Amino acid sequence: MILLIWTEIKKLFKNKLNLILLLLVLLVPLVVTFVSQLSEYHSSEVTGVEMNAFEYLKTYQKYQQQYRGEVTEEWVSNLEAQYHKLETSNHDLNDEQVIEMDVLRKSIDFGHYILDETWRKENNGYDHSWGYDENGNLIYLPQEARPGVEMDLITHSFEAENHIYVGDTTSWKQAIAAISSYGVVFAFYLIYLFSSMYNKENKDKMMSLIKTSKNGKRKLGIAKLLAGLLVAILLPLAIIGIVFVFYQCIFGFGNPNVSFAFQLFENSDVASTFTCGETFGIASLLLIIGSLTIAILSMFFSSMMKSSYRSLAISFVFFILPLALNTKIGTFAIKLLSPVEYLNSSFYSFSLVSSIGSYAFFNVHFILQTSIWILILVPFIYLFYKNMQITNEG
Amino acid sequence: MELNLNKLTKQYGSKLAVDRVTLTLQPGLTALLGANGSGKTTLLRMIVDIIKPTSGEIFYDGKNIMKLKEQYLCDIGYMPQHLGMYPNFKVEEFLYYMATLKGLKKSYAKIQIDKLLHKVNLEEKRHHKIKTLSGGMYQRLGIAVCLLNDPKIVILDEPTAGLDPKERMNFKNLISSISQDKIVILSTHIVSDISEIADRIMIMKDGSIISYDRPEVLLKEMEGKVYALTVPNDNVVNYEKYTIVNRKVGREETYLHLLSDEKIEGATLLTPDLNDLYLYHFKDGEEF
Repeated sequence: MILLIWTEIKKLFKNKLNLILLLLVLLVPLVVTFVSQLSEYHSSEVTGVEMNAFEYLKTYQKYQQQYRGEVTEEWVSNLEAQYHKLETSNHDLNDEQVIEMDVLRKSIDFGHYILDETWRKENNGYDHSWGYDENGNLIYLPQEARPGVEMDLITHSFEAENHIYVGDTTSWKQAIAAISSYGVVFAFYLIYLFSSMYNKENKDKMMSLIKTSKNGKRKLGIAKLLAGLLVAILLPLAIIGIVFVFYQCIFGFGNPNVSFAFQLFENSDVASTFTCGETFGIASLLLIIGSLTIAILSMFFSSMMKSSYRSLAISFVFFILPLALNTKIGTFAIKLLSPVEYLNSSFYSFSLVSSIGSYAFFNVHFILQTSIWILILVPFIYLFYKNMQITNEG
Repeated sequence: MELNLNKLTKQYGSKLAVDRVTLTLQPGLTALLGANGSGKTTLLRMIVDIIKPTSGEIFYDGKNIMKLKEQYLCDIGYMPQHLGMYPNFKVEEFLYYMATLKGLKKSYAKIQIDKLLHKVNLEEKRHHKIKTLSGGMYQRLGIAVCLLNDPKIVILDEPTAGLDPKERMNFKNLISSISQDKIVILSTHIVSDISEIADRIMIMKDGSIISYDRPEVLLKEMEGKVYALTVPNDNVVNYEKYTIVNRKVGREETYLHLLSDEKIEGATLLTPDLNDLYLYHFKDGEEF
């Protein structure tokens, strides 16, 4: 059986086009995301400093590491003292000091958010900016209301956490954004790859040889399924691995126990109790679950259709049409079946990864909905393949 | 060793592809002759259990193949009419894959692959991709795949289609060499493929087996039905009511090789061959 599974995997990638597309799918989203991440920090109007994006991020990372620590009253006080010192001692800040103050400001901001329960309860529904009151004290200025969907998270926010750490989030942030950017492209590739999983033999006129061999009727059907599932797990793992190694080489990863929410505050986004490591894990698992779901559905269509073109077409219609319709059907079809959609490259999805992880991925209904599809479809895939008629071999 | 077909029938809608075929097959080469569309492929596909008969049964050594399932397939070697193999696989790699599908142990598969590559003269192509093989090599690889599991029943569906005469002769010798202790069914509409090597001939027409016996018996039945004569060119039209096997047109006269149930005056009786036998049964203008 192992040899059959291995051969099925080899068959998938024997085709040069499949291999070339795989390389593109593995590398292009990463490169595009990295370039767009750098371009975000390219302009001095955005960063406030005259540095290129790479230098800016490295400097930012340096200060995040410098002021890392567990969120305590003492830690916040130290940061505030440092902030005042910088503010008062130097009226003409250089670029590095501007970044240092920015990191300090956000760290203090986050510290207050964690430690000041009264403040948090009063201001939970709002984004904030930094400012001074009439006495010259640093305060948070409420701005606009947060979307209701995020309120639940914040309500159950940080009180349950005993230790919250702040530190270097640069690579975690970039890497999770990169994983998110794989969603749609990767989904397309999987649909393409698995659309011929069960009917390739028909195209190659191999079905007669297979169906007259001892293991061709039953075992091969199962081997194909297992090979498909294995590939659907290994490919996202490859993506995660490549992303991880890439950002490890470029920036290096900080402590995974650092709060993911800390970096989210940079964009006034949703709060989360997850650490960077956990959020990275959630993003990875969502990619794997989405990959498995798409693999199962594509293999199902492939076992139903004798032509890979037909199964490819119906897979695309199934996945893309609801998106194009942009209606409730789209929401249900894609978001409930394939969490890859959650990881698409849109700017808001990235910041929602953690919240989705908490209300969708770890939600029993969500897991049931995903796994029920798989459990229902697997026997049909096996039966359709077993009974697949030989039609084009004479 | 015996393979019994009992009232084997296959119907597609209103079309009766195979009609109550009953016969017993024993070791040796059985040639299945028939025109295109006569039901040969459908019959063979039922024998190798890739299509289910509408009615009737197949017994292998007295046991219904439906009950034997995979055990029956262990003894089957099948080379389909439209042979397909993965073009990007290398020859040896593909044979190992097929050996796995046939449930062979790796050590035994290695022995068989080495032996068969030698037998089909493809040793040098062992590491070549299948898409680089010529038509003859491709068919020979098909035979190797078919024989991997050392099957007791070998089914070859038009295996020589598209081969040049030399390859065809090689193929014929190869098939002859394997048919001693196996039930070999070779389907073809090319009579020369089976001449001299067939132990039995089965003639299929419109879904039915109309004749099944040893070649010499079938040819004996044809005696007195094959004629030759030379007639003036303007007289040929009078002989077109007979099946003309061959005609050689001269300046004034034409030589005719004819088949007829009735005696032809002035004609010489010829010793019938398999070509005469085939054309006698498919004389009604069926394509071949």
